[in-house]
Amino acid sequence: MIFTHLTIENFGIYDGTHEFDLRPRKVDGKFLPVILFGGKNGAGKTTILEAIRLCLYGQLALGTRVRRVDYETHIMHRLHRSSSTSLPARSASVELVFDHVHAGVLSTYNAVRAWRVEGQTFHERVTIYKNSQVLREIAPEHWSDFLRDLIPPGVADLFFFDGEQVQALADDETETTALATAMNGLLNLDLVERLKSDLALYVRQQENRESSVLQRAADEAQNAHENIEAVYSARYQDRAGLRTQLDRVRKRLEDARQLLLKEGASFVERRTELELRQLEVERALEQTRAAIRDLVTGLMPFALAPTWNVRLKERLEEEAKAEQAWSTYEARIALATEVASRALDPAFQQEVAPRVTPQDWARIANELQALLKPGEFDNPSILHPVSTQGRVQLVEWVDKVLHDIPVQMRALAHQLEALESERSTLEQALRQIPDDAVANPLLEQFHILSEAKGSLQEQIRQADTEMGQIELQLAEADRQRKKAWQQLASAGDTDLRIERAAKVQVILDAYLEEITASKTQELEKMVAHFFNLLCRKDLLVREVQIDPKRHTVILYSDNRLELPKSSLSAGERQLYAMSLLWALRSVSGRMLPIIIDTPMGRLDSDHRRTLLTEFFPNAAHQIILLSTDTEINVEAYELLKPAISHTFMLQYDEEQGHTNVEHKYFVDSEEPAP
Amino acid sequence: MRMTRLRVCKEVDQRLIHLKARTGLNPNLLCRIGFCLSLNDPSIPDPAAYPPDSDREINRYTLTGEWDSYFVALLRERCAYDNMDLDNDLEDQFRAHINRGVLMLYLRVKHLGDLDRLVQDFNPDIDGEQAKVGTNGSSRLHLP
Repeated sequence: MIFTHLTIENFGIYDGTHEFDLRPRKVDGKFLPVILFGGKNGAGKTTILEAIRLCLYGQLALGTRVRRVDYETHIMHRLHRSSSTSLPARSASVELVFDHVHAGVLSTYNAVRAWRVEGQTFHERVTIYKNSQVLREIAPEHWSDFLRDLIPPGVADLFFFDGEQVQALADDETETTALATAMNGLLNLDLVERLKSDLALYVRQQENRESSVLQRAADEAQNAHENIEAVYSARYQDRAGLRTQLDRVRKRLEDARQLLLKEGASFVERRTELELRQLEVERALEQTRAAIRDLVTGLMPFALAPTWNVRLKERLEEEAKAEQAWSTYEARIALATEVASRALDPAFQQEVAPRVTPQDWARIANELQALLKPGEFDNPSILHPVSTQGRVQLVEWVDKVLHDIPVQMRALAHQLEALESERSTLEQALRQIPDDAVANPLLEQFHILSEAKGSLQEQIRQADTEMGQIELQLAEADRQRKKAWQQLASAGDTDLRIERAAKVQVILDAYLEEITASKTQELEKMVAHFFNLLCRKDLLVREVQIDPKRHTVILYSDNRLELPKSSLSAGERQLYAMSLLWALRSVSGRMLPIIIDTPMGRLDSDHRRTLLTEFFPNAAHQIILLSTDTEINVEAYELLKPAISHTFMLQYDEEQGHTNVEHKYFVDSEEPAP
Repeated sequence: MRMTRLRVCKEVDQRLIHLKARTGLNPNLLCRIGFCLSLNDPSIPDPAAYPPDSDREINRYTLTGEWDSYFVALLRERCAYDNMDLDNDLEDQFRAHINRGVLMLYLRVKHLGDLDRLVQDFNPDIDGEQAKVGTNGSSRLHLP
């Protein structure tokens, strides 16, 4: 369904006729879903939402318990008053044009609700046109019903809402009611229920004519089932009450805890905090001691003999040099000896220089050996007989000992000292706590609330057990009932129509059970998916469980613990409610437009961003936003812009006492008229 | 130095037990510290003052660990300085330094953190402090 036009005449602060084109525009083959209304407070934003609801539901728009006279009074007060005459208009109307697919055919409907006041009498008239012709398929007296059934009011609450109030949906009770309505209505389960009860009525009517034993048995089984169901629903109400109480106690407990923290007198917290720190300090102390032991196992002892380290290093370096020199000297001697011995070899002498006499050769050899001056260089005495590699290793250790070790030791000792001093401070602080804590009234309050919470949880557990037993009885009664129906169906002496009706009842029951289970599962997944999409805390909710019978929703956090909805912040509750709506819409496949007043509600900037970039562009094919300039501001407008089809600007003219409509938004200087 | 195990005197044995309780360090590590502490004291220890009469026998392999060559080098350096016979006196001096060092350690370390005080006493430049005279009567050696 798409709302294509809304026309408001003389209603609220709208003077004369105002027509709004609501059809989403197409850009590059893609429909832009967002229709943005901007207006400051009192400019007539909420009136738009009110007008649509009144057009569709008339008296029911104000609630099911509103009397006709109150409705008429309300409407008369909402008729436009001109500022010049200050007289109310004599008549007003709202016309909503929408495209709607019925039985596979797309038609355009115009729904007009007009009010007229003549003297003291009030007239309301509803007219419906289908493709510009007065609707013929339905008798005029049922037109109101037709509009109501198009979008049941309970469902409309989920699609046309106020962003600030939508978080109330996260309250357990409200949620249960809303979910029940929405699941039955949106998922078309109510049709099946209605069919079932019609069949039961039909069978009963037949029975009046043609009573039988089997029929009576079936009726008794049906009655028994209904009785147990009544007990069950009473227990169910009780438990819902307990849950609400528990939620309240949880909230108060959280407040009490915050107060304790704020007062700085939260001794329990303080004690825990100190004890935690104590554990940390002990652990750090152990680590520091271990690090010192490591150092002691390493080179630390040697740092106690720095003098000898310095001497050792000096000597090692000297000995390295001496050894180097000695080995050079030895090599030189060896070479000279070799040369000299060859000079004395007759064969060599003969070959190289036959005219040099052996005496001359002897002289040459002597000269050579004289040059070498043997005996001048003694083998150096070595105190540390180690290999070259061993020497390098020792020098390396000595360097570490002289430079690094004292620094490392100092750092660790400082750490040890600081930790030990903190430990004794902590012990001191802990010793002082208990006396103060006993006298603290805040703490007492905290304990009372904690006990109340425990007792409520216990009562809920009992109620759960009891309901579990009743459920078993209910299942048994159901089995009896089905058996009775089957017997009735198979008994040959009954009317064929009754037999078929009974058979269908059995089938419908099974169908209802299965479809509910499968839709519920789908819904569970979607709620979790959308919530995590909208919420900036990654995977705040890991899993969602919905009880298909009781319509209660339980959230589970990442660690598989139940996440009470009261522990969500106001903003998170709003996001939760929106993801529930989104999931319902998506699972139901009902293409209804969404209208949101005050769309940003109590959200912070991060949540706003996800709403602007995730929710609005994707949640529906048509989404009408009614926003003030502080909600969708310049920045937000830019984020939303890719999804905006067109905008309206509502401005209240105080002198004239009515609202003017322009085709722009706060941030636009101008935008071409459509 | 061929020695493979070493026995300390009775008093040192007791002190090692006390020191272990104070610092959480095992006797091998305490002996290593003691050895270096004693080495840094200029007076020459008398091996006869520390009879090997306790039940505590210490294995050289665990005593010196991976630093064996380092201990031997320092010992040789010190003994050469003291004009000892490097072939015959090393083992007695080694034992004497360990015994004396543990007794010195016992007087100066009450707690693991005190080890740092020792290190800083001998390496005063780390905190920019001036050289200090060591406590317990042993004045610090200054290099020529």
